[in-house]
Amino acid sequence: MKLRNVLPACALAVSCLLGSAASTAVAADFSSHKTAVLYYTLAQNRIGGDDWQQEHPVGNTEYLAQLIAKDTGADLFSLVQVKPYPNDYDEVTEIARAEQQQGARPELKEVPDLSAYDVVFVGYPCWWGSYPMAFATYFDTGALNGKTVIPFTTHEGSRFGHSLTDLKAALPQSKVLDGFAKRGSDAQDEDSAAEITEFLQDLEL
Amino acid sequence: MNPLKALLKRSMFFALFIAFLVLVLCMRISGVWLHEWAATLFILAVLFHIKSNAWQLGHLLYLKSAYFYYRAFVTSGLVLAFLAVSISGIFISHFVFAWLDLPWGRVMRGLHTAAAEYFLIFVGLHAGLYGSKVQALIKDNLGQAVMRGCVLFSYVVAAYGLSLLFTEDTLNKLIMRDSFAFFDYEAPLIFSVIDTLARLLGAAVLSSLCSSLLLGISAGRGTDKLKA
Repeated sequence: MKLRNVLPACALAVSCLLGSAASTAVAADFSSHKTAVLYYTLAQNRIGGDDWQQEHPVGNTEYLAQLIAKDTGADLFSLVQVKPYPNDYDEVTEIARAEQQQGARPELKEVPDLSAYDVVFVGYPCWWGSYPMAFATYFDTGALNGKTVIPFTTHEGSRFGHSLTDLKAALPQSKVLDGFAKRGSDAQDEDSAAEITEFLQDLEL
Repeated sequence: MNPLKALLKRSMFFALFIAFLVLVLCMRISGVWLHEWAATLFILAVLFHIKSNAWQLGHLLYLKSAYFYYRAFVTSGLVLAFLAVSISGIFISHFVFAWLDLPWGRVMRGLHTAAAEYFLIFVGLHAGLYGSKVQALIKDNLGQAVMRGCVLFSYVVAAYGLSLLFTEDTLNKLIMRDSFAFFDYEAPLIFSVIDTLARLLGAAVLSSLCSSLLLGISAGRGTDKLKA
């Protein structure tokens, strides 16, 4: 068999394989699902504000949540604690670390009712490699049992940390998909919307 | 002392050194408590290493040549990175030095993450300065075939390590954009160790090649001067 006959055949075979691979990947169709976006943002859970907060009235995680809700037609819900954190970022990180070590369960002002939804985006800032303990309080209610959970997070280098492992452990009766991670300081950049859209298009529900 | 015994003794010291370093850099394995204690012991080991080789610091620019300038650059970078990572680590300590109650914050944490990355790179570059010496030791004690096998293995691992070093993630750490390091918790633990060692070896092989090149350039210029 001559090489000039083999090469086109190989190229054809490869292109067929690639084509078939591409055709089996189905983008998520949210119109057939009842979707909610549940997020936690520090901006809604701290006392007062500072210069940064005055310039950014919407928190980073909240901003991404709004983008996701806009693209998917989802309903927005947020977790707000009864006792907010202090205004100082460093104090917040120390308290958050202590809460994580102690397995604390901060009291929530309201427990959102997501019983009508089958797909829930769960958004949080990645604190010490995991989600804020307010989410642990919410997960304990079993409100996300039987649902498809899609996490998204804002971080400062750690991406998801071990929060995906923690999510799967906390939600054994939910299906946790791969999520979206964005650096917090870049969350409100112009390219976030395009990145979110691309992420949503690549999702396979 | 028997040369092979001397080689084994030095090899054991550096094997322990590297083990400590991996334990410090791979916090996913050690966790924060063990990371801090390993880091504290590692600082003491480094100080011992500096004391044992202090005479070299007085001869950093023994000759004003490209090789010695490079050597001085690597040594200076290493010392600076070591100081930065140690001091910032003490500031953000949660266990060993927590009693000092030093004010830290996002800046100090960012500095620690950056300094750790610079330290890893400069440790690799520093080790690479002795690449030829290590090759000669292996060849004299274990034979040329073993030495060649080690060199080939090193190049393969180094290529992988360099692919991990020249990434946006590394750049983000070096310019203090990251306050926290990324660890892939979905991957097996051993991968963290392999990746850290590969990055070290990548920097070391690069430095070894650079040293050989600069030594050759410096030697060539010296020969030209002699001819003149």
